[in-house]
Amino acid sequence: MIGIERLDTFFAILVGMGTQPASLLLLFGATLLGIVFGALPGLTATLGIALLTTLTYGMGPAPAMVALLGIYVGGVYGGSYASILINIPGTPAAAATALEGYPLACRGEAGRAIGATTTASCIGTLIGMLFMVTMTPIVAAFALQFTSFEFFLLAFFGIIISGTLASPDLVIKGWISGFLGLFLACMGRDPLQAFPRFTFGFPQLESGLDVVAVIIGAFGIPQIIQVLGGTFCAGEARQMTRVLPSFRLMAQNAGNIVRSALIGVGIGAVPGIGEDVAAWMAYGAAKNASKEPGKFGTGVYEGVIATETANNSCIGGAIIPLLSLGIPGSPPAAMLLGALMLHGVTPGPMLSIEHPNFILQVTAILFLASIAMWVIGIVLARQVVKVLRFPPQVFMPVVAVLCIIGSYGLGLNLFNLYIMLPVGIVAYFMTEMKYPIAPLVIGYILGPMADENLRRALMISHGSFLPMFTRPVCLLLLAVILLTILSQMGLFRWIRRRRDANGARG
Amino acid sequence: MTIDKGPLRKKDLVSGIVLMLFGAWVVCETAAGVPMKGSWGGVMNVWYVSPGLFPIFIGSVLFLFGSILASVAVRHLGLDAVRDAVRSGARALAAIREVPETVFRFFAVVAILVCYIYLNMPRIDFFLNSTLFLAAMIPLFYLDETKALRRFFGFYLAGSAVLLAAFALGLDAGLGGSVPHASDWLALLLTVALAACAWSHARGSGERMKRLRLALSMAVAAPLTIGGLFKYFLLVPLPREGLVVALLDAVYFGLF
Repeated sequence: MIGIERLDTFFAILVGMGTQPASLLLLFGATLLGIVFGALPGLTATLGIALLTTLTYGMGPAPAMVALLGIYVGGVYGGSYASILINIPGTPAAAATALEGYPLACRGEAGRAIGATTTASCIGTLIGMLFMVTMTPIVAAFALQFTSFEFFLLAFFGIIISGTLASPDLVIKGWISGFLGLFLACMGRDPLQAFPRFTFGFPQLESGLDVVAVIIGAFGIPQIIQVLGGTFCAGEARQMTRVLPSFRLMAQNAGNIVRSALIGVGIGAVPGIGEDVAAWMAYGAAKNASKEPGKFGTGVYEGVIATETANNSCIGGAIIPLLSLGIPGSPPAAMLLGALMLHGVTPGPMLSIEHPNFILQVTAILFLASIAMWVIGIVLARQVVKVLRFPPQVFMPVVAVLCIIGSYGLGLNLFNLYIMLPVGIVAYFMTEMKYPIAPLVIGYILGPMADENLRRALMISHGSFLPMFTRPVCLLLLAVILLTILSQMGLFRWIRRRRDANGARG
Repeated sequence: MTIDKGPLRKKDLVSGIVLMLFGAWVVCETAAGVPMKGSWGGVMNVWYVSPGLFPIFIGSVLFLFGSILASVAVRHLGLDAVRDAVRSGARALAAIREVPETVFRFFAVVAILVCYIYLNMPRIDFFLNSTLFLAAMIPLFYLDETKALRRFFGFYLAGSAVLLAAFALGLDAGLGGSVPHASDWLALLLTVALAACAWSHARGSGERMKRLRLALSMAVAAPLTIGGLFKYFLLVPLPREGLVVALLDAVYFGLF
């Protein structure tokens, strides 16, 4: 009965949104903007959401979510345009798409490849959405049993796991990045006793660092410096032919699509790692499952379909921990969390109680956004790819102006700008030294949750850590955290090497 | 994609040491400045409720991780290699006669951003400041020729130094009585001078002139679009409203 009621509410919301011209216009506009953002090399969905958050400040939570999810879905998909047409991934999530997409474009099949990725992205988003709407209430109901110790460990788990999986080099760098984020979260008055910490006498720092300034600084400024400071050179865009994909091609890839979507949802649900990891994993899985793996790299449709299904289904996956636990599943979801908090919606186990229809609303928006993305992708693809002819040396400085006015616009505070640039420069150096940035932002967002819950838990237990070892969920989280850390240590590696050596001998 | 581990480990050694120092500083600063016990805000503190607990934990972990990172780097490179790297690094630094291209580009981007945000944002009209920023940034990287890049950047820095001097000496405020929006006029002057400098470099080449035209039109159109959207559509006051905002206000409120 509850299920039918929820389905009824879902359709009511869907019809409500689908019949409001203003809502549809906002959705199509935001999705198109997302596609343009994704298509332009150097700009990402995360930055798009960060910049659009400023523009949605005057809106209510529902239209703001329409705009932000539209740009999220469009941004993740749009990266495939540059990958296929100029062999430069528009976003990191589309890096794997370039491996097969560009050879296809060189064969004169750019339009068909874009048509296939558009349909795959749409199906991927829809599968992710299905998982989101079914899994979020279950995880949230489970999380209602959590106490402060569990929330502390959950925040800690988010940082450790994202640091472990997002690090391109040594895993410890991911953890360091997460702890630096936690340090940034300590600045300002503490959440329990309002004692000023690391404010250096600046009254502007008493309320802590502004979330948008930190995120725009951490994601936007390094990209601007990298594009302008490096020797960025865009290739010539390939011509497009017929865009509409054949039904036969998609039907042949049904298994590939389902497998890639499941990988995307699974990866998305793990805190901190995003669409790029999902795309690479799905690409690897498609290659392994292929009857002709040797053809991969020469322009194979299975490859582009796998990567684009996975990175878009990752959106739904990333929203599961975001809405149920308040822990973002990917960097764009981290930005979405910041935006939700600005709009007075606090994601977490209480979300279903405070805003009973919010999850269904997000589901309806994701559904409409995926349709909008498909329509725009098929109808306007030829027009959208024109943005690829625009030189990055021209649009990146304009993006810098957008970053600056975006950081300023939320708090009308010049101090946000003074914070944004140093954060961005530090993030740039970290990126250059192969420290991942996502754990930094996740650490910054989860910092207050970890700090507050650790001290509250200890207050209740009178300074005893014993409950951490007596509560089952605590024990589970503790075990996962310890295993994750220990698996990177010398002893474990030695055991693994011994086992491999024995296996080879056997 | 493989990562060249040697140079990366050298950087890791440096970042490990920096992190150790930073972690130690966090712990010391917290221990010295945040009460671990006693009364604060009507709450009697014990160590486990103290606002210092979490920062001390973070500082200690950063110190630990920094030392692990540094030790991994030393183990990878070997102590002798570290010693050699320090010596050869110092020698290489001393031998540098010209800043490498990538380093120069990094400093150019950062310097222009610093001037845009810290020097000009609180003092110059947003539109003019953004136009000045874009008129410096776009031609600098879009015309893209190393020798001209350095000359153009030098010209921008000299102009910014003039602005800094004017702000420091209070010339803008002094002139303010007789010339309204004096700092905005100065910025406009610098923008025109920059455009002239870029034009002198680009003339003679059709391709460069085409690029310069695009760069300058973008420098004017983008701030007008972005600033206009924020000011008149989203009703967000701009960081500094001066000469151009006064003009736009007159037009906007005259029309609507």
